[in-house]
Amino acid sequence: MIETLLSLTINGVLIGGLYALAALGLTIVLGVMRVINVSHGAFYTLGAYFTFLFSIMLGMNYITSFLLSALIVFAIGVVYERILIKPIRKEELNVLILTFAGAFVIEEIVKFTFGPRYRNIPPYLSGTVDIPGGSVDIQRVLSFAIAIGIVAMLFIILKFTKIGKAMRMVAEDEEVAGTLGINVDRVQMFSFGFGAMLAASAAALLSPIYLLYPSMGWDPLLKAFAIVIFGGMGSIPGTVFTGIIFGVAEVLTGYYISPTWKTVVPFLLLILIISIKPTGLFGEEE
Amino acid sequence: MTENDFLKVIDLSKHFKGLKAVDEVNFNVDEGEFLGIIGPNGAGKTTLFNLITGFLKPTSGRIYFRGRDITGTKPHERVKLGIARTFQVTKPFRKFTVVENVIISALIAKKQGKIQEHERDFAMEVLEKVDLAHRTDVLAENLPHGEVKKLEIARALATKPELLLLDEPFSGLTGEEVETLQDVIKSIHKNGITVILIEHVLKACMALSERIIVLNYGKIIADGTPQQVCMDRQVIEAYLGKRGLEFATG
Amino acid sequence: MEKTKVSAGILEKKYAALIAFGIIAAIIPLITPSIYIIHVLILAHIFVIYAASWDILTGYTGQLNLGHAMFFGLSAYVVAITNTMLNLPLLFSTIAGVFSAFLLSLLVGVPCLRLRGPYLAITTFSFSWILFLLASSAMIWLSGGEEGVRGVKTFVVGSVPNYYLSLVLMILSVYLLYRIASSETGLILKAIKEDEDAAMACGIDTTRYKLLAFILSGIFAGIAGAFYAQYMRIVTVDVVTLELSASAITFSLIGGIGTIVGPAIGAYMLTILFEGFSWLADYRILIYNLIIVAFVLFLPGGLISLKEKVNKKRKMVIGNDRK
Repeated sequence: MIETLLSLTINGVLIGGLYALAALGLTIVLGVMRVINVSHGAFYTLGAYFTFLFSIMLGMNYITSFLLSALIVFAIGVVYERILIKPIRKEELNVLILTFAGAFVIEEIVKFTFGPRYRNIPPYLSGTVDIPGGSVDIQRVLSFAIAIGIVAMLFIILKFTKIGKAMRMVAEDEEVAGTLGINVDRVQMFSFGFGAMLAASAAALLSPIYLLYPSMGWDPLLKAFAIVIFGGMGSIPGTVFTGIIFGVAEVLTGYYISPTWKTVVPFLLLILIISIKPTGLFGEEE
Repeated sequence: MTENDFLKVIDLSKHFKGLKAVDEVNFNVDEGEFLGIIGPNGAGKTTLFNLITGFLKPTSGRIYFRGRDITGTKPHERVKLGIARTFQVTKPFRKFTVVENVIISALIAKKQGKIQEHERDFAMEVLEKVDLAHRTDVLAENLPHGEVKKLEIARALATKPELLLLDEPFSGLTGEEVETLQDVIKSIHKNGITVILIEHVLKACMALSERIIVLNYGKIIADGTPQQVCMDRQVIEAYLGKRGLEFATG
Repeated sequence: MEKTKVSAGILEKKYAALIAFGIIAAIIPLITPSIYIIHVLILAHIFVIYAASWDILTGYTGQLNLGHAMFFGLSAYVVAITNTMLNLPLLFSTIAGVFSAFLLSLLVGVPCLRLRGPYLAITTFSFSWILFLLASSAMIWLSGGEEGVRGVKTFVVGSVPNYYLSLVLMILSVYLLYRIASSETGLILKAIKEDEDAAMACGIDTTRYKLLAFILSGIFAGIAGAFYAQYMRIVTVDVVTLELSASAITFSLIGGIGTIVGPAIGAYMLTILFEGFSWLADYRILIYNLIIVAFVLFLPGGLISLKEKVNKKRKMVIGNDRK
């Protein structure tokens, strides 16, 4: 019994780490730009399909495909921000509507380019590791490890690099950052691209595990939303922790209650938490 | 606690993540008084305002208004009781015209039976008091900064307050604007409204206030007439630093 | 004096337009033989109510609701399920449906009262997503999933009677919402949208008014959903999709957010246009969303703002501009 629970928990943690990665992109954009990017899920979709394009259709190796798709989605994010978001950034509702519509546009383009049917990327690593009570795929362990690596890198970038410091300052106070000579527009453009890239990375890491289809982005988007609220906006540890909780809750519900409820339970939890503490588990009081 | 206590603040504290923004503050305000609150940046002045007006909940301590404990009440309930405020960072209803901005307050005051006349007439009356009557139909977002400050005051006045809290009404104004606004505030006080004024522009604050409280690091370091406060060693030190004190006292 | 005269003139114009629309709408079934056109117009009427109900909460009060389909969808499902599975008379089912939307508006509204901006938007999104997940997978035994709940009874039989019923319902709903929006209450709601802190400082009980907006919004969307259920006689997962939530926003944006009339016009036009574009088949969603992007960027005030722009221009030409 306990061993099953342990094995499920480990599997949950592995998936949760990837959810956290997707959510981090959202929370960075939210923090630095004060913008909810509903297209975030579409960037995730793009990341998955670019990985598919490079690794399956063009036969490149997995790491190259992963890096290429992350870079391309970064570039797409930057262009997207410059052309579409920047002119209307101050209008919260308009940004929401635009990114909502933008997500559908991207989804449709993906549908026309790759077709509406399911695609799959076979695991590039096969085999399992035995753990008490079961086993985990090496693939998942590796994806998780890469995700944690990316999160660590992100942490270092934000803490120690020039652009990271600039991002934090803009997040703190745009005007003050501007008066201190920071090019706010450029930092925001970079952050948006960066957020898109994180979504794409999560997708690239999850694509050998889950199936690909054009509307695949909505589920991780909603999960990322929930994780961001849960974890309190702008908190990296909060986001990672919540992402992992989400993964575990999902796997446990799927096993003990029913597979169809596994996606619902995290959201029910979310609403429960929000009703009690409106700023999330790790959010600060206003 | 007696009925004639107008505003009474007892052991009021507000902590943010361990930072004591307001720390065990005690003071009284009498009806009809004009109290100034000064202090260096980050001394906790605006936090204190937010506590008195109900926009923040205190960590500890109590607030009484006319003998009534209002500590846990919401901002709009305090407005109903007669406590109105302005914001340091102005918050006009941008897409509303000047008169509509004021009508909102008047509408609520009317619902509460504080005014009898039509809310538009009352709003116009108030706009005249703050010298904005010529701007009635301009959108608030098109107003210059100085007039937005007046609009804030008009909106607060239209709630028919007994106690008016002004959060840095002079900030960002030109010398001339400061003078006219000073007159406006003076006449508001003359009409029987108790005023608490937070100010950075010391000159204006000194000129208007009958009594001044000085905050530093969330604590009251001086409480007295403008003259007394000016002479206070701690105050000069807080404002100018130790060297300033040496300089000031020769 | 002069001012009231002018506004009376505008008022008359407004009513003239409304009466003209009423007359045309009333005779359409008499002049068109196509049941399909009637069907599209009935859907348009339903979506007009749906869009206007979104507007009172988000357009007027500024409470970002990204999941409006939840009210519509829950009501539709409750009508269908109580009518077919519990064999409740349709009238009671309808009441139950609208009531369920009302309850949902409380359930969503109460926690949302303390939330602002992004938190609020994401929470409303999550609520509707839960409903979608329940209907599409977790509670498929009740919702029927893609197959849906079939065999709902109707109040009136046939397209034309349903057309008139929906027309009356639409005019009534939009009229009521418009009246509320242009009343003192509407002004207070707009003040909350403009600046919640300032509204509080004016003495407004923002909690109460926000909840009122949630309830109004939920109930009218519920009415639209209930009518939809009995007219379509089948309720599928379509009624709780993200696309439906998005369309509330789209209709409003294209018509003009925060005007009630704008979203109504937007919903009416787009529903017809969307059906009209059906020859585009696969490209429909793409084109539709590209139009939205274009509107956000170039005409965020919606079609209704064109009128203001024209008015302004005219004023300037005459040289009457007061500035």
